[in-house]
Amino acid sequence: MNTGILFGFLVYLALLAYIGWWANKYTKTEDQYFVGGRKVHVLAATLSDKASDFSGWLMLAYPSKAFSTGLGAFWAGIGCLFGTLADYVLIGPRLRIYAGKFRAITLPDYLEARLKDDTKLIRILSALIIIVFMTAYVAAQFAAGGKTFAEGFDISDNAGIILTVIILTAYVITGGFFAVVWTDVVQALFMLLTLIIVPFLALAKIGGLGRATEIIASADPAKLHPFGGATGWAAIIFAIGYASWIVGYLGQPHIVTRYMSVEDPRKLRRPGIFISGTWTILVLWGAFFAGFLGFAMAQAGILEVSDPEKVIPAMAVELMPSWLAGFVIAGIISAVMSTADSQLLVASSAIARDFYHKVLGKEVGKKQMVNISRLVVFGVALVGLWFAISGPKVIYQMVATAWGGLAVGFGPILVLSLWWKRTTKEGAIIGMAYGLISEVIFEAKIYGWAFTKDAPGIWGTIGGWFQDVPVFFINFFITLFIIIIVSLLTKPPREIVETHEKLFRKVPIETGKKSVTEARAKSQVENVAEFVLTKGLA
Amino acid sequence: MGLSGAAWATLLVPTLLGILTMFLYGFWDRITGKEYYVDDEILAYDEDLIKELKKEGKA
Repeated sequence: MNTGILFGFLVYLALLAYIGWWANKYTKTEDQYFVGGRKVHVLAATLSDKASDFSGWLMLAYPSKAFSTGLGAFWAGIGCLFGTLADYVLIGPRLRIYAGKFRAITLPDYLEARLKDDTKLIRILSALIIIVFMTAYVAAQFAAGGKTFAEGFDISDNAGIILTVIILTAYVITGGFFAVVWTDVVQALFMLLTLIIVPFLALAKIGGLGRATEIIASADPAKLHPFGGATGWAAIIFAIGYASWIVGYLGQPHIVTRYMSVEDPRKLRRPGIFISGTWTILVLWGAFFAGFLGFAMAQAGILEVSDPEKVIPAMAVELMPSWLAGFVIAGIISAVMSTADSQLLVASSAIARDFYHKVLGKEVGKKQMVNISRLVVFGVALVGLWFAISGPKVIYQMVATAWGGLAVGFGPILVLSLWWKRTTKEGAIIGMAYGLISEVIFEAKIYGWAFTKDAPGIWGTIGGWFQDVPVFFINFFITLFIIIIVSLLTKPPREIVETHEKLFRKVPIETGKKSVTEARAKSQVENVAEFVLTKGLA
Repeated sequence: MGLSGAAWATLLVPTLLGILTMFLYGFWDRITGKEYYVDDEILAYDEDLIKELKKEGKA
């Protein structure tokens, strides 16, 4: 084992341990354990949003696609960028407003209150969707952690998986949401640094972009084509296949819960979208070029890559001084852990709060509830561990399957319930039930995560029309349509329509001089920008 | 040899559109002069947490 790599990694672990200890002070109630008392600083909430979103997929799976497909893989990055922006435009502020109004801690809390569902069916369906798909998602992160440890420390994938589970479960159990959010902030910075450093080092090593493209063109010219060499209809399907991640953003509980925790919904507009958007653009460019240049390096014989999903750790170990490689390995593990921690917390909330507390109606003390949640985190981690060790360990596929299930289960109902006052509980129940059942059947029994003509019977014919387009992309719009039709056929109670209209009335923005306290509450940059805008527009 | 014009367009056009979307949405309240109504009931901070922060002089 390389001691330099180990040193860099241990520094990172010490930082995580400190944050877990600090956050434990502020974690005494369920409200605090799951949404940080709704008072999380916007910088932390937005960076944590992105760190939770971009997982082992960003550091391992996406670069592997850039490695094996070339430029065409950038369409996945385009989907992720616009998905991030869509979350802020369509979900963030409105969900925070409703979460505050209803004192909602979890997504099922919000849906049940918003749609006035007294049957508990929405809560049960939501919890089922979270448990089924989030556990699979957690397993994908464990597998990604295992691969990174294996490459960095020369141990087996399974030993790496067990190490990931131990570190992660320890700080989620200790600190809850505050620990998760603030470790996410540190992890977001690690990820950003890694994805800036690695491509530049690769460029320097290979002799510039011109040289890299020459090597790639001689190996496979299709890798320099925007649509992987496809033209016409095939090119459109190719782009949709990759960019389809966009719709998934609207339904990821571990991402949208961040918006429910932010201190003020208006801050998600500014500076929220700027922090998230800028970070996203930088890491997506970095991860793409890391994989793209990694292929050129492999072709030139500078780099040995045993598995395309290990291209970034392999580049770090080959190209960097060992202590710096240790930080890069920490950056990759950061991406894995910052997603898995949020997912563990959401999966635990679905069992502890939604099933135990709300559906079964078990009333226990606040502290006891937090302890039960901690036990559930441990249980979910064990199930995830089992899936990770016994599963296929192909992260792109594992993430796409889980991402799809959550996208179809929650995306359509979230968007409609936040923007359309006519959405009814009947529409939600039928739509979500369809989403859950169809995703499980299509992905587990008929197609896998993308349509294929090889499916049996009529499904093969349909699969041929949408060959390689992810199942969730089409299924998202079918679910949306079902909810709209059922909602139009049923009638929402008058009070929820009135609440919706009242909550989202727009008011004139406040003008005039601010007090010293108000001015100090904003950053220097915000105050200067505000002054320039006010004077400039006057 | 470098990347072709089409390749650069694939990388740059969506990125610039994303930046434009960020600015439009980020300043939409300034552009329209209106914003979401927010009060203490909507902010709904956890009472125990506020007590703890006040004790430490952080709220």
